[in-house]
Amino acid sequence: MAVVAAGLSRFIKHLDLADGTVEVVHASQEVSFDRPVTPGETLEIRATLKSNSERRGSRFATVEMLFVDDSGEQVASARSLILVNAT
Amino acid sequence: MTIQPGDMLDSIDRTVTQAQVEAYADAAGDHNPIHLDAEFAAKTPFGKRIAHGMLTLAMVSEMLTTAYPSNWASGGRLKVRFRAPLFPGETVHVTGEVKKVTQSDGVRSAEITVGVKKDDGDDVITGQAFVQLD
Repeated sequence: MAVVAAGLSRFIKHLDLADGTVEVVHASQEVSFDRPVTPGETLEIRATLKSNSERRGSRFATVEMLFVDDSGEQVASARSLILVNAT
Repeated sequence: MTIQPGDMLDSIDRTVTQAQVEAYADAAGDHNPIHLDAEFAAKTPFGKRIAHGMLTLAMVSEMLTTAYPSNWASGGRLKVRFRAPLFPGETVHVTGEVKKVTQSDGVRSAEITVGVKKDDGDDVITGQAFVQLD
């Protein structure tokens, strides 16, 4: 679960949504674990912005992430819906 | 042990503190001021600092790891909605109830209704988890 949280926060930073000028709220989360991750492992996170729409004055973004180990094998995947409001 | 609909997982009761929120911000690399900056949070619709959703969700994963030590981390899935913010100082009750047990290709799987509720009964997280039993 911690790697999913770390991946999501990095992607939000990458989208320049973490500077305090907007309010980011986590609306829903899906996670699938393929295998346990052991301390010391290096993972690559492949994140994709799957949707980005505006509804009733709020922006909704769907982020999909794949967590891949050194050998290219997927260890987990996640899909997050975040809400972005101007402050 | 036979697992059947209606079975309850061992629940977790926990009070989340601002110190835990700050430690989680460092661990996850999520320093969104809504979790850390009281002045910033006061200007949001929540009115004060809130715990990270993933911190709260980690308690659900902790409950599932305890119930299914090997199968949760290998093949476990969950799908949840964040219903309400959790404010540091509030106590939550984390529960799981087996909703159904299915069998496919000789492998049994359970669908578990998971939830995080505040003392006053308000939902913080609702959703489902899926885990293989064999």
